[in-house]
Amino acid sequence: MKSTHPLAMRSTLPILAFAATSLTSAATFAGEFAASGDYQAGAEAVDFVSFETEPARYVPTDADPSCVPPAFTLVTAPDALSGEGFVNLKVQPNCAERFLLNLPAADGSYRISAWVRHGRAILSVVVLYTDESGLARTVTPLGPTGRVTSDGWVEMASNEVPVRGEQVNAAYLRVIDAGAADGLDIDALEAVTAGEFEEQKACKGAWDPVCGLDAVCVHGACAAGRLAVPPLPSDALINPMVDGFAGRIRTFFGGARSRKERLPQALATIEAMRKAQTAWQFWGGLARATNQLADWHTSMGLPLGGDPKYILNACFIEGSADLTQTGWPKHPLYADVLVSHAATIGAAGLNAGDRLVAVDGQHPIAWARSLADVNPGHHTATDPSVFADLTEALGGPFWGGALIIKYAKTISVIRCNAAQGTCDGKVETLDVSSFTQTGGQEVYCDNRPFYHFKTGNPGSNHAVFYNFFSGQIKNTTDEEAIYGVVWDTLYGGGDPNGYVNGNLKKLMTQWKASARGVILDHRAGSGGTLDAPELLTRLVRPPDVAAVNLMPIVIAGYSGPDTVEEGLLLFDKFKSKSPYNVGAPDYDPDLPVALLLHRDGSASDYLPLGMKGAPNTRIFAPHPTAGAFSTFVNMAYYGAFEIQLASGDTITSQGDAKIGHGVEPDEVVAQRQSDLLAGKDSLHEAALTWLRDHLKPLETP
Amino acid sequence: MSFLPRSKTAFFAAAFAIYLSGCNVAEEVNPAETSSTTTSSTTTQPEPEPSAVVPKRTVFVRNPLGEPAANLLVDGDFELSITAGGGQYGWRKFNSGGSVEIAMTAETGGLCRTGLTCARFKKGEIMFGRGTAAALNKGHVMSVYARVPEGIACQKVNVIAVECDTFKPLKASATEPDLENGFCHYKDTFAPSSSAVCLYLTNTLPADAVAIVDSAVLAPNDGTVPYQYSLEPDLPAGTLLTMQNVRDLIHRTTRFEKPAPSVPPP
Repeated sequence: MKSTHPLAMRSTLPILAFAATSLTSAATFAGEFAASGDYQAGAEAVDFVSFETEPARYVPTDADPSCVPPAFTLVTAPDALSGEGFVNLKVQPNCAERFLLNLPAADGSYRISAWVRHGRAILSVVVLYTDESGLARTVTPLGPTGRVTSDGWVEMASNEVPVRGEQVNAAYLRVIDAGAADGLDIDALEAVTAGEFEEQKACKGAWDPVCGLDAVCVHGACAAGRLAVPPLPSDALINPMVDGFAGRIRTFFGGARSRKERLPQALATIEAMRKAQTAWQFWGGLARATNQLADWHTSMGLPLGGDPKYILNACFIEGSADLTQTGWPKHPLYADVLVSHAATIGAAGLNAGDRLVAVDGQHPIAWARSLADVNPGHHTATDPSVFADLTEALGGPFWGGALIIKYAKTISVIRCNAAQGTCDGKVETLDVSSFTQTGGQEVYCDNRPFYHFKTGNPGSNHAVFYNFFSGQIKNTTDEEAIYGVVWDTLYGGGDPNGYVNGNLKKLMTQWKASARGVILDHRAGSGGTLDAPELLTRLVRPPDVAAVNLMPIVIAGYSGPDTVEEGLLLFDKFKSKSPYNVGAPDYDPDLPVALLLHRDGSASDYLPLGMKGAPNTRIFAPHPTAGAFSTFVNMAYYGAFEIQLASGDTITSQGDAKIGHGVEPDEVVAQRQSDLLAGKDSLHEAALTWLRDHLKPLETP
Repeated sequence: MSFLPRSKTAFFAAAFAIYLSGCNVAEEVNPAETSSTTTSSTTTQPEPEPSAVVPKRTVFVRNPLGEPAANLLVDGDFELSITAGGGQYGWRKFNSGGSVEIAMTAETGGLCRTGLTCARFKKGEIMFGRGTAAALNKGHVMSVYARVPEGIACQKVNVIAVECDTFKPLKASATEPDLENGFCHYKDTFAPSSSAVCLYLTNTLPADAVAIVDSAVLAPNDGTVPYQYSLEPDLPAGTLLTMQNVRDLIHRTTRFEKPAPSVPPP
């Protein structure tokens, strides 16, 4: 992890470094209140909508027809914040209302504010440019300043939004309401001059110093951090808010391992937020602290950066580059990174079996780990020895990973020839800016190079997601009767006959009746609810309580158990309160079941935990699962962002605290480069071999 | 209903107020003066100048995260639980049977007792506040405020501390006899717990009546507050059945899954 990156230094930098621009000041209020209590626009206001008359709206040309009618009514009442009018909104689900701003034609930066009451307003200011300008839109959230009135009004404000005045197509306040019983009131929409226009700079790579201290290079452009976050809290609020975040994280975060190993550093980062001089120092600090918790469930999602400039329709997988390790040895810590699958267009010419040896000169996983300092929402396994999430996130669509096209300057690859089964050994370095900008089929990354059903496989874009694919395994005989399922979700949702549990039940019934071997391919397990893994374990083992769930955290700030004995006491205490029940009396002891794993967390950790050690079950994977053995709590900060915080731990019947300790495979299998070139799926092949050696005996007539 | 002798209740109130003090950053910004400036909460506010104008409103600065920071509830002040979608937020609301989760609805600003947001609570609704137990085997103090419509008794809102896992009732809160700035105050103490503690709120409000619920605090009883253990509350069978419905719904739908990616809105 680079300690010299601007974001990592923010907490210790002198104030002088941030004093050069008006964009760095702490939150200041827009207008003021007269002695009468009426709100008056600030002296620097360039636009002020007091809703005395019908406001100007913006309706996107592609808006759903149901979202086109106005979602507000004009109200005249003495308790308007300014003047006598305001609007009352009731926005339909999946729609938004948009009030146009009339900004000056000159370039400048503006701070947008509005007052709301009687519900939660999810507000953002959007600036759209003409097609001819070539400029990307900006979307900036509004957050509370802390200023409220006795009659319910709450001030919301944005940070300074740079606007290229003459190129603007439309600038508007986007509004969604939540929790408003009788509609949300809005008044005093205001735009205030807040400094000079700030040109967005081009950059290369996440660490490009051209972006300075308050921006991050994303998609080849400096993304100002303040455009992704609420305003910096005022002097009066900054310490109480630091206390508030620190208190919640200290009380509720994590379990034994994650608290002991990661909490101190994250709390130190939060403590440093007291000295923040800019919005990005403050909120970016909170995002960095969240990343430092290094937990699969824990994230602070911030939409930093704009639309992607380049595409890379390729997916990567950890494996063993058996054909190229002579020329480029394996890293002592990290697995080799191979192209799992790729589209024919927009993949920089990469094909399955090619090897990604470096990103910006580092091993790809080392490079991806370093992004924890700059990438809000950095997603990683809770088990510190597992890097599958980071590897998977190197490629794929921009919303689901795409770390290379977001943050890299170059990638270095060794290309191979599938027809010949050879690799040339030459390292080729590609500039990300040389990637195509559009075209080709988007591919999704699921750690499955190939599919193996006789019919009914997922498409070439690997869109498994919430779908189930099942059937008889290709290249097996009817007498072998080997069946399987490819699926990633365990979201049973508490409905025993719902989509997920219903599908699993149906398959389990079929397998018990007619299969002699089963392959459960769950290599991109995104978790769900515990009913689904509990259900699946009923196929393979007798009843038992495999573990107990101490979650969300049972005792404030509890970092134990410290010993196995303490863990056993907890197991006994919670066995009847919050058990993880596995197995069933009517399980099939003769049916061999192979579970294929790769990048699996949470409920997808519990699945192998519940199957591990079952009489006729074998887990195949390159490494342990994510070790995300908890649930989480959510915190919604006024529509500007959400924090998801892991909370609690899982104690096994052996007294072990599981958080941060993924489930080990019974058989460690790495995807081989030579297999990829030959069209073979190493994990699947290993599982099939084992199944054929353990087929359920044929019933004698 | 109170489990405490009146004299102890008064002492409790004083000690608990001390716990809450020093956390409160709310301040009034006098509109007749420098309304756009903020001052430290410890600064004494100047007396307002005599004025013939009666301001239609006053202006405050409040903490968007609510108070206090050391709350054993995830979101005691109802600031971080109001969204356009569902999730495992600090407060969740259910229908009267406890079988369906419904959206939290909010009131705002100075209409709330503390913070920027508070909860609207209508007839038959149930609210569940996620919390945890005090460390070091300490007892607990709980405190919730609700403003009910005029003429309606405070007892129409019920605050019950429960074990989060089992919904076993730990304490049904007493109600202070006097209103506090228009708010009913529910507060009580109860024993240490080795299981997480949550709050379960019900009401028997009339149709169309809305209570405003705010400033919920669950805190360790650090020995500064005397308390007496009491028997488990004797709740009606119907209430206990509904509580199990809520418990089962929460348990069945507790999520163990990957965070959603963050994408700018269209």
